[in-house]
Order: sequence, then structure tokens, then C-alpha cells
Amino acid sequence: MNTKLIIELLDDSLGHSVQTWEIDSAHSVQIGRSPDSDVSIRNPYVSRCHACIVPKETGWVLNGISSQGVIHEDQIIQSIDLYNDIVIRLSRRGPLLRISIGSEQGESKTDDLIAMSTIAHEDFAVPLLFLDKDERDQEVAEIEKADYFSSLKGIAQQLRAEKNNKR
Amino acid sequence: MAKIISIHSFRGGTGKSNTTANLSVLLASKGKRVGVVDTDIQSPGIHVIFGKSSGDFQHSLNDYLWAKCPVEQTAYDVTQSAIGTADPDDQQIKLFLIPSSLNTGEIARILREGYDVAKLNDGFQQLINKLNLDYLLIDTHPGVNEETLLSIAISDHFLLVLRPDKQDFQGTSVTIELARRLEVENISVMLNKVPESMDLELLKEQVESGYEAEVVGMLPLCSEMAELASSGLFVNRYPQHRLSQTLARIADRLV
Ligand SMILES: Nc1ncnc2c1ncn2[C@@H]1O[C@H](COP(=O)(O)OP(=O)(O)OP(=O)(O)O)[C@@H](O)[C@H]1O
Ligand SMILES: [Mg+2]
Repeated sequence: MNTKLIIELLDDSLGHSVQTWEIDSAHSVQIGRSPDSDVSIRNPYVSRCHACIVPKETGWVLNGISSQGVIHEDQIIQSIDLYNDIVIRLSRRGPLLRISIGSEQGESKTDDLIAMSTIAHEDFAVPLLFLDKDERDQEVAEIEKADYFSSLKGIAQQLRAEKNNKR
Repeated sequence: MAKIISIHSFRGGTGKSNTTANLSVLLASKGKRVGVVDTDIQSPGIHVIFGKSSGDFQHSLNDYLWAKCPVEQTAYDVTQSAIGTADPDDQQIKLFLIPSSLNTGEIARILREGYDVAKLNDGFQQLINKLNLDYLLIDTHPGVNEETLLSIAISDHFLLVLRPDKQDFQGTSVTIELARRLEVENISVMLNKVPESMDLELLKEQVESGYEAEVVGMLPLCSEMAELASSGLFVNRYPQHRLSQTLARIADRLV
């Protein structure tokens, strides 16, 4: 059987790959925040030991370990048979992963990805700027509640109206 | 019609003051009348970049806020020292600095008593009118407080400065969202202290998609700026440097 797996960490909003792991193994693959995971992802929403991928007779199966869950098509899943280019999310607010299963026909694509992975494995120069939008919205709501915020909004609107009149 | 441009960052030390000072020089050099207000009353400092010390000023913004003098008396003409090539008689190139007091007693008083935010706003409008300004640049205190929010609320252009850093990134998103709720028309982002090794395209994409706002420039982390240590105006000292050229493009975007 084919033992090649390509796991890509995707940019949440753009969907392109920001880090790639190429794994050639007949053994299981650990995914988690722990630095000694095979696929180590430094993201606050990833558990130290989040999921693992184990080989089957034909293909692979991914098992969730963390109580934060593994999400596939909006469902928390315990276990799923991998198909080529499957996309899963590690915990509700965590990162997206795309997993490709090397296939005979897909060799050229795989080669490209291997070349990319060589680059990505060298220390990652751009930090993964992670935006927690819920936290942001909560903070904004707090500030918006304050009295002075609405009075400021009033001042600003009035000033803009005056300016527009002068124009 | 004068434009108010607020320069802000969520955290301190991002390079707001240096950015503000250098942009003010670039804007004035285009033949504009520009005022720079230091509203960082808690930790003032932009005057240092203009080569001034507190002894050079008789009045500061604080005096106006305590109703000790009219606001135009707190404005100092720094055109000659900041733009050596400007003709002193040319009324169309002018740069004014409105400093905050460095006196620790003054700073303590502001922290203790606060001040009238509406008065600060009146002060901005009077400066524009009395000095006949084309641009008023506001160097703000980091973080979110009442006077910062006022500066944001009344600005025509809100420029956020951040470093490529996770904490800067998260915090700045709050300020941007607040500016949107305050209906600020133009919101843009400038990255500063970007290490040479970073992939600029990727960085830009991440920031723009996270904020849904435009990145108008990315300034490199550089030893020349660090060694200058706020003792002068970078664009005058190193006009050919990539950092100066990026700032010039940002200034073009602000006019
Ligand atoms: N691109 C750069 N490369 C290297 N050093 C820089 C760069 N930009 C700014 N600095 C340095 O960082 C320090 C802080 O800059 P500055 O005072 O402009 O920041 P600030 O945001 O106004 O800080 P504060 O929040 O304290 O007011 C200064 O010593 C300055 O020389
Ligand atoms: Mg400053």
C-alpha cells in the first residue's frame, strides 16, 4: 500500500497552505501541540495530543483524542476514514488541516508538495498571526457599552456633518 | 478642508512617534501646512525626534487643557529645523509642533484629574482654523482610553501601526473594530519593525484578511532607525533608505 501522507496547515481565511508535513510511514502519526508530535502545531486551540492517524489494510483512519474534538463538515467526529484532500478542523476555533493521500496518478502534485515541504520545514519566518474574533468582539462590546462611547459617536457624527456642510 | 490623521498603536513602542514625525515632514514638504499634536500626555516624546527639549517650549498642550492659554500659543513652528530647504517666507510649507508637558507634576495631574475631552476636540478645531492647517497629525497614547477614542472618532484617516507580533495583531483588531463603529472613513494599517527574513507577501495577506483593511506599508526593522534612537528625523538623515521610501509612499496615500 501507499504509505505517503501530506498534511497541510491551512490559512483560515485564505485556504492556502502555510506549513506542510510530508510523512512516509507505515506507523501511526501523532498530531498535537506537543513539540514531539509528528505534526506539531503551536496553536492555543490544539491539545497537546489532539488526534492520530493510523494505517489500515487499505488507507488510513484518523482518530480524535482531544476532548476539544476534531471537526469534519461541521460535525465532531470520533474517527474517520481519510480520503484524498480531506479537510478537518482541530477544535471548534482551531486550525484547518488538509490531508492528501499520495496516489499513483498524483505523483507530480506530490512532488511539488514535497519541494514545498522542504521549504516549510525550515524555520517558519512569518508568525502565524492568529486572530481570535470572538475575543475581539467581546472586548469591543464591553467598550461600546460605556456611556462615553455613545457620546463620542455623537460628537463625531456632528463634526462630520459640519464639515460636509462647509464643503 | 483640513484632514485629521490619527496615528495609533495598541501597544507601546511600535514606532508611532517616529512614524508621525517623519510623515509630518514628508507631508509639509509637499507644500502643506501641517500640525503635529502630541496627545500622549502620559508619556510624551515626539518633540525629541524634532530635536527639541522641554526647555524649548514655554507652553504645552496641558496649559491649554487647564485653560491657561489659547491653544495656538502651544504650537511651535519647527519648519526650519525639520525642513531645511523650506523658504522661511513660504507660507505654504509649514510644520507646527504642539508638545505635551514633560513635567512629572503635570503628568500626575492629568492622571489624577483627567481632563475635558470635549476641550481637546475644540483645541484640534481651533488649531486647524488659527494655523490654517491642511493636515493635523495626532500622535496618540497606546491602548484604548477616552482621549484616544476621541482622536479616533474625529479623524478622517486612522493609521494603525503594529509589529508582526501575535499580541499586537489581536489587540489592534479591537481598535480597528471600534474605529469602524465610530464610522471612521479611512482605516489603514502600517507594519513596522518587520525583520528582513519575513515573507512580506504572506504577512500582508494575513493582516489584510484578518482586518479587512489595507496594509499601506511595511517598514523594515533596521539598525539605522534603532541607532538614531529618536534623536532625529529618519527621512532627513537617510532619504534614500527603503524605510524612507516606504514612508514617502504612505504620505502619498494620505494626501
Ligand atoms: N523600523 C524600525 N527599526 C528599528 N527600530 C525602530 C523602528 N521603528 C522604531 N524604532 C525604534 O523603536 C523605538 C520606539 O519608537 P517610537 O518612540 O516611535 O514608538 P512609539 O510607538 O511612539 O512608542 P510609545 O508607545 O512609547 O510612544 C525607538 O527607539 C525607535 O528608534
Ligand atoms: Mg510615542
